[in-house]
Formats: sequence, structure tokens, C-alpha cells
Amino acid sequence: MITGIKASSGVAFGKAFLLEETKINIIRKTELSGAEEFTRFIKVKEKSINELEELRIKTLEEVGKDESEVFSAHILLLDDPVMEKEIKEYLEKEKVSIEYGFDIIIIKYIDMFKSLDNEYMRERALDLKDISNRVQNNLSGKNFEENKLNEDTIIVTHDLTPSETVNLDRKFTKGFITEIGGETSHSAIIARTLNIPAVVGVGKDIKVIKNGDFLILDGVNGKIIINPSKEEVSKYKVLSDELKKEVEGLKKYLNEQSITKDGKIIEIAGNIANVEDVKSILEVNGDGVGLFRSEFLYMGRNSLPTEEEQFEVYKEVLENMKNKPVIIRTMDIGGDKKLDYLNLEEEMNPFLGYRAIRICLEEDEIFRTQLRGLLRASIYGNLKIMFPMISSLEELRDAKMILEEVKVELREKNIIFKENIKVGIMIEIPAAAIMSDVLALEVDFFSIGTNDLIQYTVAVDRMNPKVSKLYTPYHPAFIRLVNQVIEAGNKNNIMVGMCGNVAGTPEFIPLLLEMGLDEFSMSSNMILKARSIINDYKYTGNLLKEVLLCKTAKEVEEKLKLY
Amino acid sequence: MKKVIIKSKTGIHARPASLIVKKCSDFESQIYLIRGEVKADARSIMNIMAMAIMYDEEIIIQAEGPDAKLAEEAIFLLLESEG
Repeated sequence: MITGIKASSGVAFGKAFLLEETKINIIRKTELSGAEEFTRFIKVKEKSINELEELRIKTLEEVGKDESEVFSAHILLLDDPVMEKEIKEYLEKEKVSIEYGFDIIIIKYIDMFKSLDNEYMRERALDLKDISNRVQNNLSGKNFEENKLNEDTIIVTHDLTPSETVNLDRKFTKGFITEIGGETSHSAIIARTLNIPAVVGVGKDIKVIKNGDFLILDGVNGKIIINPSKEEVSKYKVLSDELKKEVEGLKKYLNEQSITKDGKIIEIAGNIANVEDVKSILEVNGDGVGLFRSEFLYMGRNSLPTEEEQFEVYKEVLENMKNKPVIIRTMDIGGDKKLDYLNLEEEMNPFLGYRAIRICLEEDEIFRTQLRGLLRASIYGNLKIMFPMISSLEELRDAKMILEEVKVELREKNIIFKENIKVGIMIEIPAAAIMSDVLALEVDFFSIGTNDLIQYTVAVDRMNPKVSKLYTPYHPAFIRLVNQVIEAGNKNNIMVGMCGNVAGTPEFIPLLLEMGLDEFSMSSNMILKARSIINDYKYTGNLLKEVLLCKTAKEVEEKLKLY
Repeated sequence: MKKVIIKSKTGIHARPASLIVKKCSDFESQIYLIRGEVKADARSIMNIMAMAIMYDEEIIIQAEGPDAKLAEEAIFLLLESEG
């Protein structure tokens, strides 16, 4: 068994087909007529452009506008007048075949793109490679689109070019596996849109797969099983049938409102870390963003993000969400998320240390920069601001005071922002959960961060395998704490939400509804499932009563799973 | 000659580059984008993309020909609104 990155969910069965990188033997012929070779190029260029235009239309109709634009770009790249001039001059001077001449020139551009200090541009080298393959195939008279399949197949390859992805034989291609790439690479996005299971970024392990091997592609867990046993096949057949039924069944919830049978409107939101993630919330028609982990803007770089950079990101997220609520959590750096450029000291217990709001209140310039970016972006949608790691009322008051000071500063500069932005806190420290009745008086909403709340409540480092089995969301102490927080919020008429894994765990949803939770924020792929549970739910209050009587985690788990 | 500062967070990637190329076809003049020592033919999407123009960089638009002024203005407006 080998593993990779889950790019598109589902289970597929099929024979492995190794799609080799197109290798065409290019022979350097000389003493040819430059003019004749150039005419050959122009003919093939026109043929290729026609093919690309067909592909563009096909993609537009079958996949979508964004994906189809790749081929518009291919047309422009191939039709580039500067490159054409270079080709013409090269052919006249060297008197070589166009196959050779074109290869020399396009490789020059591919290398140029590859050398750029910009991830996006480096990826464009793959587009040029795709164009080069098309031109060479057309020059050789071979049909670019030929890869005739006649049985269920799983494509195994280094990376899929856009043309290859779109041209996959829809009938027999059941899934694909690539050596490189990630969750947001072009092929992964298309796989999700077309609903083909895919695992990408498998790495060198991919070489283990041989042509004709029978494969199970488990897109749910990012696994590939090579030549599985009969038992494994039947196990996966069951899983695959269940998944298909479930996906079909959930589709009807796409355009439904999230509302219980008693008529309580619930907000089912998604968790995001960047602008891209918004797309997957919109795909399932989620009701908002319940947690934007803004610290990801600070990571993977050498200096703090500027106010302007932050403003642009927040603005784009708010605009894309079209007035649906967007909760942006101010940066939660520290703990397991380190930043080299902040020169934070090594700590014995980083999770109990200098982290999140504690850094923000100490080094408040970082905080003020972020708040300015947030306030300025507020006019573009429905922004709510959330402070993480609040352990006391003092911290909340300090953070709110800084926010007010930043507002005064912006008013003085005549910079506009929304006046009535809702401000809330994460409830992730037991001290805050216990004091939630007091904190509720001074905030507009709570969001319960379950991952940290559990680990702080049971004093278990969930990264430490020696003790991680003690980390459980079924612990009765955690259940009671959550109930207490929701009660405190409800009494004070503030919204209580939950982000973190528990919110998206199906068996917890009825319990949380009984407690009175208003908002659930989860990974987007769980949203429809959650909506199906919520829209089927009718309040009784019995489940909560029974669960609160449980004495052990095991009892809680059994009660929830039985329900 | 006109100066413009790129305000798009993603810089001049494929889409704005293709818009520039398309806009150029409205004019007769030679049109160039210049950053420091690097000069790109604005009719060439390859050359524009290879410049990898990023957010907050200053670009000079320079045209030579009968409709140079108009061309510079048009590309300037495009970059202002797009990027």
C-alpha cells in the first residue's frame, strides 16, 4: 500500500495505466529550407489552435469557466508573435527542421519560467510543456488525443497536464494518481469537479506501480492498494457503494436552508485558511465562514504581512462570501505554529506559553496592523472579529480597548469601516468556559474551539502518542463544559458557535442541537452531511439528559453512536 | 512613457497578461513594459509572464509609433483597474 494527498474523494477500482511523459525523438536534420519549415510550423500552429479552441469549449461546457481559461492562455502562448519571430529567424539561420527548432526555442522559455522565483509562474512551465507536446505530436502526424482505453483504468503519471486531464477517457478513467502536485493543483481541482477519485503527490513510491496492476484507489484516505486480496476488494466495494449512495443522497441538501424540524435556523459554516478555501464552501452552499485561521497569512514567509496585504485577503474573502457571515480569528501564532522571524524564545510548554492573544497584547503593533486591515475590509461584507486564547475578562477588555483605539485612529484619518462589527471570543481554555456567563456579558458571540478545549481540560498533549488515547471528545467533563458554555450564551442571547473537529462529527450534532448551539463550523466536505442531520432533527431534550448522566467516556460514546 | 504600480496581490499572472496582449492589438505602435533593466514586448504573453511582475512593483509603459500616447494611456488604465 502506498499513500499520498487526498485530492478528490471516492473509491475507484481499475487497471493501472502508466501515462509516460510524451517522449518524441527529435532528430536534428540540417540543410533544410527555413521558409518551408516555417510554413510547416504555421500550419501546425493553426491546427493546434483549433484543437485548443475545441478543448476550451468542451471544458467550458463540461467543467467550468475558470478551468476553460487555461486553454485560452494556451492559445495566446502558442500564438505569441515574439516566439514566432524567434522561430522564424532560428530556422533561417540554422536550416534545421522545425521539430528541432521549435524544441530549442520552447525549452528556452520552459527553463525561463522554471527559474522564476514565483510558484505560480513555475507551474506555468507545465503549460508550455503541454503546448510543446501538442505541437510535436501534430508535426509527427500523431493524434494528440489518442490513449484508447477499453476497461476500467486508473491513470498513473508524474503530473497531468491540463490537456491530459480534460482529455481523460470519461468512460473508462476511474481515477488518477500523480507523483507530484497538491490539493490545489490544477489536476486536483478538475478531479473534484468531475467527481473522479484522485490521490496526488505520492512521491517516488509511485514507481512501485506497474502497468496492468490491479489498483484500489481510496480517495477518502489517500491510499492506493496494489493488487489487493479478494477480502480487500469486497471490503472496498461495500465502502464504495455506501459512499456513492451517500453522495447522491446529500445532493438534495445543496440548495436547502439549514433548519431543524422545529424551525430553528442553524448556521453551517466552513473553516478556512486562505482565499482559495472559500471556493469549497461555496461549492456546497455553506452558510458562512465560521473560522478563518488568519495565522496562515503569517506563515511560510520571512516577515510580517503588511496591513495592505492583509486587507486585500480579508476583502477578497468577504466579497466572495457575498454578505454571508465571516468570522476572522486574529492570529493564533505560538503553540505548534512557529514563526522564525518573530524570534520567539523556545519554550518548555509552548501550548501553555506565549501564544495568540498573549503575543498580540504584548506586541500590540502586530495586533493593531491586523485590526486596521480587518476594519478597512469590513465594508466589503459581513465581518465578525474573534479573539483566540482568551483566559480572562481582563484580556478580553484589553483586546477590545485596542480595537477601539484603532477605530479612533481610522476615524481621525477619515478611513471608513463598518461601525457595528460583531466581536467574539474563542472558548478554548477551561477558565474561559467556566467563566462563560461573565464573559457573555461583554461579547457578541462565542465559538467553542474543541481541539484545544479538550486537550486543556484533560491535560493531554494530543501529539504525544504515549498519552494521546486519553484525548477524547467523549469525556463527560468536556461534554459538561460545552453544555455550560452554550447555556451561558443562550441566557445572554448571544450566538454560540463551535469550530474544531467536534462540530463536524456527525454523532455529536444532535447533542449540540439539544444544548442549543447556533452555529457549526467545519471542514467544507462535511457541510452537506451536517445539513442532512440538522434538517432531519427534531428537539426532544432526552439525549442531552441521558448524556449528562453518563459517568465515563465510553458511556457517552455509546449513547451518541446509538442515537 | 507612463509609470504604474501593480496593485494586484497576485501580480501580473496569465489573465492580466493576456488582457494586455489583447489590448495591444488595438494599436499600431510598438509597446513595451519595462522594469529596471528588463524590457518586454507587450504583445508577447511569454515575455510578459517571464518578467514575473509582482505586487507593488513599479512598471514603465513605453510605446513608439503613431498612436503611442493612446496606447500608453490604454495599457495604463488596464493595469490600474486590473492590477
